[in-house]
Amino acid sequence: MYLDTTNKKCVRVSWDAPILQSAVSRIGKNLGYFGMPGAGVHDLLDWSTLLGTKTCVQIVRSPKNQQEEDLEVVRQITNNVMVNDIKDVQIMRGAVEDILIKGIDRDQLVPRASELVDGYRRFKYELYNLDFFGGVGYKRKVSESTKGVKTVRVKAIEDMFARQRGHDFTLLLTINVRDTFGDEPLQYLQETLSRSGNAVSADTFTWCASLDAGMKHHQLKVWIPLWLRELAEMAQFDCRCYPTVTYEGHEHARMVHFAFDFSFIDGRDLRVNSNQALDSVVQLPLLQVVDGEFRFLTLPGNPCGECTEADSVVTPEALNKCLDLTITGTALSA
Amino acid sequence: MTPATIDATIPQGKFGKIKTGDDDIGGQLLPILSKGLYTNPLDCIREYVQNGVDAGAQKVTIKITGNSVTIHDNGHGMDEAQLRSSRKFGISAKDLSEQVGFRGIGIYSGYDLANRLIITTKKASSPLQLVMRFDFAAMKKELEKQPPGSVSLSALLYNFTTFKSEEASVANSSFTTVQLEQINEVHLRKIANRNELRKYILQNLPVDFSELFDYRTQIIEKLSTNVPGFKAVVIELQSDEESDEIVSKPPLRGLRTPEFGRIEGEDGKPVAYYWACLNQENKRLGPENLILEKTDSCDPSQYQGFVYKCKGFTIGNRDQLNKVFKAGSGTLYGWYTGEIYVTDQLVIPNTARDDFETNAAKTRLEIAVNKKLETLEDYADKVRQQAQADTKIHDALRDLTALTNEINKNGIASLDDFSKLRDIRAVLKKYKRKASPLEKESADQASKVAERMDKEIRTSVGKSAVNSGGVSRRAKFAPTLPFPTAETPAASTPQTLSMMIDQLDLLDSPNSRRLIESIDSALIAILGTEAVVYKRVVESVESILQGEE
Repeated sequence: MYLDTTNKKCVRVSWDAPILQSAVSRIGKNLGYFGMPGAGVHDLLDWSTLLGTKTCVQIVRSPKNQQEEDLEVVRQITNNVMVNDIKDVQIMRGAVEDILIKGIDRDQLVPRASELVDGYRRFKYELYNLDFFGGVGYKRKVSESTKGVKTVRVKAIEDMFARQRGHDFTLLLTINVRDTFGDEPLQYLQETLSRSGNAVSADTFTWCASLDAGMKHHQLKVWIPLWLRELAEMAQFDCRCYPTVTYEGHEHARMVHFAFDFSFIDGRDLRVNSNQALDSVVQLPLLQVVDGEFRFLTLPGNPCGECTEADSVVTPEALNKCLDLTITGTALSA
Repeated sequence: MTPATIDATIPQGKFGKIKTGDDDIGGQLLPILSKGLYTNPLDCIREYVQNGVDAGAQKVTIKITGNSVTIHDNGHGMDEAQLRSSRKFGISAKDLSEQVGFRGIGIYSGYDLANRLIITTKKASSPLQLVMRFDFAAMKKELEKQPPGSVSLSALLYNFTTFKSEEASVANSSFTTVQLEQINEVHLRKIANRNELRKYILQNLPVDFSELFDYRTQIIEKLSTNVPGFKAVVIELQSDEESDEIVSKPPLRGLRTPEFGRIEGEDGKPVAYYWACLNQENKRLGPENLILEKTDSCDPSQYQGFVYKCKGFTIGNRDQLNKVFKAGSGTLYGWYTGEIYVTDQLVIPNTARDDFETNAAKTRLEIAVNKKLETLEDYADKVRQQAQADTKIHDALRDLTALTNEINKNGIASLDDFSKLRDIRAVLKKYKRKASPLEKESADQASKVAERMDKEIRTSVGKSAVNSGGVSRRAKFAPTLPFPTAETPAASTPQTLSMMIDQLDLLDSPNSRRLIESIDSALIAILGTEAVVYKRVVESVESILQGEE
């Protein structure tokens, strides 16, 4: 009944869980969760041994019919949390973007793992699990005035870094390919990669620019990590980016799933430089989950040392290696 | 003109029945009863937990998040017929002997508080979970806009209650989840106050004992056997801003072994079952008896004295039975902690659960309980007296030891020693009968030692009086420290008049004691204790007194 699929579960269990496990080992405690578990609370259940306090966010829209629908999801989340005896759960109502921007939900509730520092609400979560349907460029403005106002998700992500200042965290971000950003990502890619002055990067841009709509996940796989990394560095976080995973979700929607570790660099006020090299990020493999199985998606212009054969099935050993190499900070590029 | 009959089916001049219909009961009844019966928003929480307990739940979780409250229980859940039936107003299928709720209105206790009530329930055998949703906000709106009485209760419930079934999220388990949504801010503030909620839960719900409480298993075992329908549930509190907490009865320590028993009415039929624990420390129970990090979260009114329980729910409070304890304005009441479980089904709690409905059964219960509490007070009083006696004897032994040491060190300095010894002997004699066996034994031994000392002092005083007309320093006494010792020789027969009268325990006032002791001192001074005449006097008085006894 819930919008869960075999592929999505496979990503949660075989891909995300080891990343979260490594975060637990690193910080020595279960992770404070801030996310959108959906009616089935599948992530809370699959990661139950890895999570500490949990703040679940469910949007409750204003139009009556949508509100009914959303409140029904709240009921299901609450019921499933109770039925499964999931401890230490807070349920916030509102758009996740608004909560990240304003620090409170529509009922004026503040996130449990947060504190007021000099009048600004700082969050202290170790894990964000965000689903951005409609993409990062989802066209809702932060306010009614149009000029100079950012799209809400861009602003929310920027604010997430501001609110998490001083606190390391992992971000799992899932978006669908129906991004409404238009050509701006390509422009961003071009500008960013041209700054690197690297031939491989230039090739990557050329290749990305040539992709048609059906290959948009390959574009996202490149520009989203670069953009998040840049935001993180500007907020004094070191960014470690994991390989991107794409899969077919509910109703055949093409989903792209990202994972990042952000470590705050104390004592810095200006931009920091992540340990993971930019080229390494660009050349991270793109994995695909099909029928619950991981495959490498390798295409011309996107070379990867770990995945020489396009669409080859990834053995569990190779998958672990792929994760280990990222977790230990070793470049995964060729 | 022929006068019209009241109804075509009822002949003129006869009484007859006229059918009632759905429209005969107005929707206004819902707010009237909901507001009238449930004046405290926490009563609503109690009602929903009670439903869970009646459904056999072992654990109930109360979660407060945002402006919603969710009450989840792992009871048997409801099937479709039961869920539909639960919507009925004022009709309950509950068995009074096993379950607490019976008025069939508890489900509507949240009407005044919240805008929506959603009940999700599942039977273990069903692959589906059922959902029933009450739109209280719409009901209120409907009642406001219509002229009073124009909306029937039946129409109100029909129009604003919806049902659905859905795939269950867990298999093979049963539950009921009650969600109260969009709770009015004033009420929410009260419900969300953790301290207040905890206190209310402890007072009003069949909360289990803390696992830290020594007698938990013993008491639950006894209550399960002797109290029909006894229930003790684990209640967990969850809220957004505080960590999860299991609410349990105060974990107490330093209590004597519990006493249990049936309380019977004058006709010999059981009306209640009780357990009672006395404080080991012979004083009112206090924060020092709590095994809690923050003892201020639990005030003594939550554990001092007794409280009525009806299938685990508290009826009234612990102050109500205090008046039965008479001695010292009921001081001993607070020495106890206990519960009285009403087993007589004719005794019915009132809706507010602050008392029972007035009837003969209530009177019978109160008489029987008062009688039992009086015996418990008597027992506590004996314990108190024993404790007091033990303390006095303990002090007397300490004084006797000090006196012995003093005399051993310096000899008799003055008649004060004699006077001190006399006081010690009086205390030992007065309190040994009420003392605990151990202290009594010590008192007996001490009395014998004191008696021997007394004799020696008298002898010494007598000789001194003869020789110099006063008291002089003399040789040290035989008794050695530590005192008293098991080896202390016991005197077989009284050797002086005072000792003999002491042993017969006949002196009940200091003046008579002083008189006897003065006569005895004079006799000893003139005759000496070894004189045949003196011995005859002692024997003769003894036989006379024993004859009188």
